[in-house]
Amino acid sequence: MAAAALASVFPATSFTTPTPETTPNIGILASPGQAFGGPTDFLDDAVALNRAWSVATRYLSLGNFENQQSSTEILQAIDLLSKNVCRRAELQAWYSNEIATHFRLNVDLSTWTQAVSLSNALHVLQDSVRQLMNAHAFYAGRPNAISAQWLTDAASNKFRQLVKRTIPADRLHATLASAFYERMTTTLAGYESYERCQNTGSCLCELSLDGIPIDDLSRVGLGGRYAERAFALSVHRLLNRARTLQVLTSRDGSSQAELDASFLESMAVSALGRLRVASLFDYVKSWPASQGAFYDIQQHLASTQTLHDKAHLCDSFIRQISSRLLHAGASTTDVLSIYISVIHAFRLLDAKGVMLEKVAHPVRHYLRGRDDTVAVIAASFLADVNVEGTIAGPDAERGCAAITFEVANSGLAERKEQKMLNFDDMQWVPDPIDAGPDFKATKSEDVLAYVLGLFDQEEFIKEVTTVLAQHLLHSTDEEYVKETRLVELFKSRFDNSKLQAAEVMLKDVRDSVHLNRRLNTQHRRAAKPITPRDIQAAIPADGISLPDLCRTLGVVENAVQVHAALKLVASKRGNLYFAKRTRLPPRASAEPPASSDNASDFDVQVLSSFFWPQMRANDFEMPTELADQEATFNIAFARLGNQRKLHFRRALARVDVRIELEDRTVDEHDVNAWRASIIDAFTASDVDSLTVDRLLEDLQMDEELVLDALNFWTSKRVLFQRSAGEYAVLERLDMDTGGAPQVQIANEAISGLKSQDAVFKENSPMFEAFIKNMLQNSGPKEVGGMMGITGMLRMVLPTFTYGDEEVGELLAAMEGRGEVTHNADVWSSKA
Amino acid sequence: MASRSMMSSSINQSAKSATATTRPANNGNVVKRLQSELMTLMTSPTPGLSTFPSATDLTKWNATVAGPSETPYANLTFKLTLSYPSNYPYAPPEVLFKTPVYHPNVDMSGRICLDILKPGGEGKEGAWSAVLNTSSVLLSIQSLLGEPNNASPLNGEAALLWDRDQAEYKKKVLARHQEPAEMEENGLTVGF
Repeated sequence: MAAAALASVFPATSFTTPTPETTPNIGILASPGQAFGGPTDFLDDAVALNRAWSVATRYLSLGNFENQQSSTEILQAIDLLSKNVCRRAELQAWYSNEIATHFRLNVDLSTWTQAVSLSNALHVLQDSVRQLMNAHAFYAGRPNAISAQWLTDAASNKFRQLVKRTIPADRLHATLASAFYERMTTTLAGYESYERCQNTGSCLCELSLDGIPIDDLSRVGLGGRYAERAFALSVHRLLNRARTLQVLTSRDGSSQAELDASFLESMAVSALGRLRVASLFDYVKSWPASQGAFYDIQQHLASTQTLHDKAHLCDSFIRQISSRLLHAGASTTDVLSIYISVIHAFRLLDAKGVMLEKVAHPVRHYLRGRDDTVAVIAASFLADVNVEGTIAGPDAERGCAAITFEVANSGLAERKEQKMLNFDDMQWVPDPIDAGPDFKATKSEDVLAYVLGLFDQEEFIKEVTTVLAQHLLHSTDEEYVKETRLVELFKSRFDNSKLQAAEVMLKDVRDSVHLNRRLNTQHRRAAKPITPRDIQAAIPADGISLPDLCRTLGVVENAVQVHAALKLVASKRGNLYFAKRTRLPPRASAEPPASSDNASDFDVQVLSSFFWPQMRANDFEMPTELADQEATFNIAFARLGNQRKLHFRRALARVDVRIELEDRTVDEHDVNAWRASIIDAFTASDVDSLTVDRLLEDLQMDEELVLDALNFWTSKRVLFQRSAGEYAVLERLDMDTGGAPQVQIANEAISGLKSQDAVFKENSPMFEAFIKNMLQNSGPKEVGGMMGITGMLRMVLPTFTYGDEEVGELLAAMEGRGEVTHNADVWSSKA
Repeated sequence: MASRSMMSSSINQSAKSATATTRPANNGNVVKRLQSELMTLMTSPTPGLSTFPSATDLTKWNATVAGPSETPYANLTFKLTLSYPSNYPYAPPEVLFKTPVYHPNVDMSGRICLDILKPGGEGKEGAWSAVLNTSSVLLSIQSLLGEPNNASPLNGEAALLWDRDQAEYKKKVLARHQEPAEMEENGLTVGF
């Protein structure tokens, strides 16, 4: 039934067996003779063709080998058939059928019905090819003998078809490839001496495919496309195995594959490039040491010129960084360093920056999400780099050395004219074809531009201002070279007007330097008498002349007190003074000399509070000497004609302290003023020990600061804790019974400036009140958008300069307290 | 070194110019004054009162007032709108109840009869003065709910009932009242 249905669609062609010679052509039954004398040519032709068919099929029949007619008869018959188009096609089909039958019965390719093992591949191939060659020769033999090319072609076609049908294509590929690969590795094994190739300067290795019947393969229809693909496969496998192989092949001229050496070379480059891509992240990480690897990849990309490879590279790299870098375990500094390296490396790969745009996007997105990124960048901008390329100074772990290095090496950027259409620009080129829609042609953007472009300008400047303020307060450079340079750098990249605060800050500290110089000279004239002790300390063992001495002490030469004091402690020999061997009465045990020894050391920085970030405003009682100096300075400042009112930020003050104890002297530089106040309190008090509560009360100081100071001095082994909350001076080290706790407290634990975060936290109750009232009175709202919560807050509250993210935090906190509730994106008041 | 906050400076400014009898309307100054008032309201909130500018215009505010306890209006919430004239604070804001209120001094469309909401000064009957502010206006309205001025009623029936039958009065109040959520359901606007 099924066969009948199939036959109705695909009619089966039936072929006759060769007509026996004896069978006569009986012609047409109805007209045995020439009775009607009609045209006879047609009949004669038909008879002749029938006879010719009979002769030809008998000759071509693959079943019998005897019964050969004379060749002229056959030639005539073939000739006759070939001239009739219809008969010619019939004969071709008949012969094809003959071949198919014969092939099926006689050619044994049963080894291909299952997978061919690798080791067996060559053998199977050779065996099959031999068989097929014989068969092919057999089939083509007879038509060839009568030089009927059209029949030979038909035979060859049918033969190839049969071969293809019998041998599965993918199995053939695999087998061919393994055979090629095996041959190549065997031949290459003899040459695998890298040193030899290097010595001669060119590769002498040869690959040969001897033993593989390539020509025969192509003749039986297994060559051509199949072999080419298999060969490519095997070469690919070979290249993957021999990593840094420079392949130069000597090729058999008769090979069908149209491959040449340069093609193989580019293949090798690609293979190497692809290998490099797989570990791209490691190369980026070790930039610039890995520059070579990037040149390899660059060559790989250049050799293929396909966008596919670039896309693959970007995808692969993005996958690598997202799994290895962009997670909570990596510190912001690390991510930033890698970001810098990525910028460098990808600009080497692709100068136009298209690929960089693609791969940098996830990193940027991630960095924007991190809270401390801006702070780290800002800190890096102000850090110092030493010769080894690492960051020096206290902020070492906060900054990113790579950025600092870039800052040190960058010049001021020229302000670019950002014109949409510049018709005079003769350098204009279209955007690269693989560029994304938001791609903008970047001409001379340097790494810093990429770093600064990470953030909103305003936000960035705000953070930088904070860091700059801190830096300026602690800077020892009177010229403020670095800070000035930095501000100039920002000015060249950002909107000039936005850096007004930074400029004012810079001007403030510079003015302060001048001011101090002026006021301190006045101080010097009115300075209290130089004590004999000072003079004694200033006189070296080998004597000193009076002018030199005065210069060391910073006093005017003919000051009367100096002469008086000098007589007390020094003896004059010739022009030089020598110290007398007298002992001066010892001083009080723990005295903070601070600046009381030398009044001229009182430096004040006058800051314009409006332009500086909010600062710590804790007030407390200063040691009397310092408080006096504040007052003196205030008067002097007013005398200079300043309208400004001074308010001392004592928490920001720093003093040098020398503590003279019974068995030792402790010198501390740049100590926070509250620490000095605490230690001074111990000096001033007549009791042995002081409690925390007493200190809190006496100094009117915040508990936080008191505890910090006590910890500090305890760690310096100046104070010790007699009992809980009670401290006393450690006059002699052997008095210490409990062993000083070795707490290393960070010097910068309590910073002078309030961070943006702290300001926000401080104000958040107010912000929350605003939000609550807004939602209650103006109805439910979304966070973002024109009329969103953030927008409204900014409108009614000019000091609110935060974004949707902060509002989200506030809302979350309020939701936790049950004040607000939200439905999808819309927030509403609960009350 | 002296840092002046935005708030204190603007208050000083308005106090100084309060001596001038006539002054040009200046929208910027109104906005500044309102911003400082808002800041005060937010930093020292009064329980039962809340107010905030509308989304579109800083001179149009919405307010929510809780009915004073131990009065017929206890536990009820009232929505009001305030719109500030361009010469505020030299003229009073226009205050309307958006919530329907049954009250001797409030009419059917929410207008309020209260002396401090009328322009003050010589020859004028009102008691508005530039020292008053949003907070004092809302407080006055809140206390008006509990202590109606029956001498000059807008709603005579309510004035009579208030004195005669507190129980009936309360019934009427509750019948008229709609909570903000109900108002929205009924298609009434609760603010700007």
